[in-house]
Amino acid sequence: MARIQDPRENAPEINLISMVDVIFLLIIFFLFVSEWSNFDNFAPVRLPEASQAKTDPMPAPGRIVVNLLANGTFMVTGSALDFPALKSMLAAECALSRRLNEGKNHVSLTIRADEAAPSGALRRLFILCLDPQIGITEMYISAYQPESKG
Amino acid sequence: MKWKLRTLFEAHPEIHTPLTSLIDVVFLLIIFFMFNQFKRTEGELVARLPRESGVVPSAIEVERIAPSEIRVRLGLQAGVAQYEINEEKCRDRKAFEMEFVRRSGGAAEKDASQRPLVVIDFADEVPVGVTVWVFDFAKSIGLEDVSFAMPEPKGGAQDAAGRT
Repeated sequence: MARIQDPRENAPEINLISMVDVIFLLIIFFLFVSEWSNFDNFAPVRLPEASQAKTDPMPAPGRIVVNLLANGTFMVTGSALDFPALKSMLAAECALSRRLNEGKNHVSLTIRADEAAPSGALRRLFILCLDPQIGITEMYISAYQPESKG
Repeated sequence: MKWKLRTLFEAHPEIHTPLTSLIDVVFLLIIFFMFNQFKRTEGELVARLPRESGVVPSAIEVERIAPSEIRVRLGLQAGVAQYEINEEKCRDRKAFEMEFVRRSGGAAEKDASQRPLVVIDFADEVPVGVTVWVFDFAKSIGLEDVSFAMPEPKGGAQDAAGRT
């Protein structure tokens, strides 16, 4: 005798645990990708702490990040540069910006300097920015924001 | 409670908790919170350089030190940072902080144009951490106009400074 099947017996169900699992995996994946997509975050730099450091949610498009390592080496987009190479790279970027913006230089510089790096290297970078070929007037010094206590 | 659960599972052996998936989710949560814990928020201190090089007082003028200027000199001796304000040596960081606040004269309450200019002059070997700390400290007590002293450019007695 044929049995009448209750439709609820084979009703599809959503496995919530697996779904949460996948969602968390996706969140972690995107977190890591967004972090690692920036080459500059790979530089072995321990930034100083500054209470007045503010985060910029919308950094200007023409911003160049220069890492200054503890031994005084400059690093841009993951590769170490000596001073003349850094100078020619900045000069080329500024020349391009001037050509695209009717003579105005829209390049700004973010310096991610290790807290143990010699300040002399920082000064050399400032002097470089004042070079007429480069002429970067807007600079940002990266620092960790103090961790909130309590 | 425990015996009630046991009797429930004994009565209905088809009921089970998917432990593997649960552990999976718990581990993912641990990874997520660990990632957030070790990630430190990065901020930026704005430092604007002059459009033309050499904004600042000449080397001779700098020697005299204008009353509205606080010149901080940073050095390093036997691995310890040395602080000097307007040619006056400070014993340690604490003394430097107190002297700096005293000389700023309640800058936070003053009009922006009345606030003294801070020039940070650092020796090459001073760690960036110390320089940034002074820069940050000046800003925290309301001194927004902070410059970095530069060596004299060749052929002129001008002292270029990075002004903020």
